[in-house]
Amino acid sequence: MDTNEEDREWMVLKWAEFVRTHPDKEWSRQQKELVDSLIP
Amino acid sequence: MNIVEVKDDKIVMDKELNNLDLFTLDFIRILEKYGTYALVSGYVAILFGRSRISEDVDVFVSPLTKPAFALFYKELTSKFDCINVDDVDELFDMLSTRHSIRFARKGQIIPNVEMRFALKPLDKESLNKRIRVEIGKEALYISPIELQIAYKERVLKSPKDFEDALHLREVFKGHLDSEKIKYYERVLKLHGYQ
Repeated sequence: MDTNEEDREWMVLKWAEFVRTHPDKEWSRQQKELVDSLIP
Repeated sequence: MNIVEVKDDKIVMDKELNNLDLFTLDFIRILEKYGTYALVSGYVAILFGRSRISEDVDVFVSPLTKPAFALFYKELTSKFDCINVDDVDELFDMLSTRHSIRFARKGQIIPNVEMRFALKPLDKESLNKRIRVEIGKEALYISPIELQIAYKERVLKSPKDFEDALHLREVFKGHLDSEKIKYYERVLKLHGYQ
C-alpha cells in the first residue's frame, strides 16, 4: 500500500468513525451539503 | 451512527435526506408496487454516510412478467426517462437476458437508477434476505450489509469499493455477523471469485 492509499484509508476510517459515534442528523447534514452540491 | 435499532431484518435511522436519497425514494416508490427489490452496491454505503456521491443507484428487482413490466414502465415514465431506449418490448428483452436498464429524471442523464432482474443466485439472496431501512416516515430495502461487504472486497475490488467496504465495516462495528461475511466469501469463491 502506498502512502496515498494509506492516507485515503485513514480518512475513510476517520469519517466512518464520526458517522458511527455521532447523531445521524449531525453527519447527514454534512453529507447532504456534499451530495446536494453535486446533485442539485 | 445514532442507529436507533439494528436487528436481523430492520435498521432504523434518523438521517437528513440528501438529493440522491430523494431521487432513489422517488424511483422505488413506483418500483415497489410491481416487484420485490433490494438496493445494492455504492448507494448502500452512501445511504449509511459514505462521503461520496454516485452517478448511479443499483437495484435488483424480482423478475416481472411482461404485462407487469409494461404497467411499471408506463407509470414510471410519467416522472423518469429510460436512458437506453424507449421501446418497452426491447427493454423487457434486455432485462430478461441479464442486461441492466437505466432511468433518470426527465431530461437528465445523471443520477440514474441501474435496474436489473435478480436472476443469479446471489441476486436472489439480496432479495430474500433484504433489510428494511426506516428513515422517519420513509422506508426502503437494501441487500444484507454482510453480502455487500463480501462482494465489494472479493468481486468488485476497486479502490472505491474497498473504501466502501471499510466504511461499512466501521459504521456497523458491533452489528455485523462475521460468520455471515465468511459464508458469503465462500459462496463467492465457489462462483470463481477469489
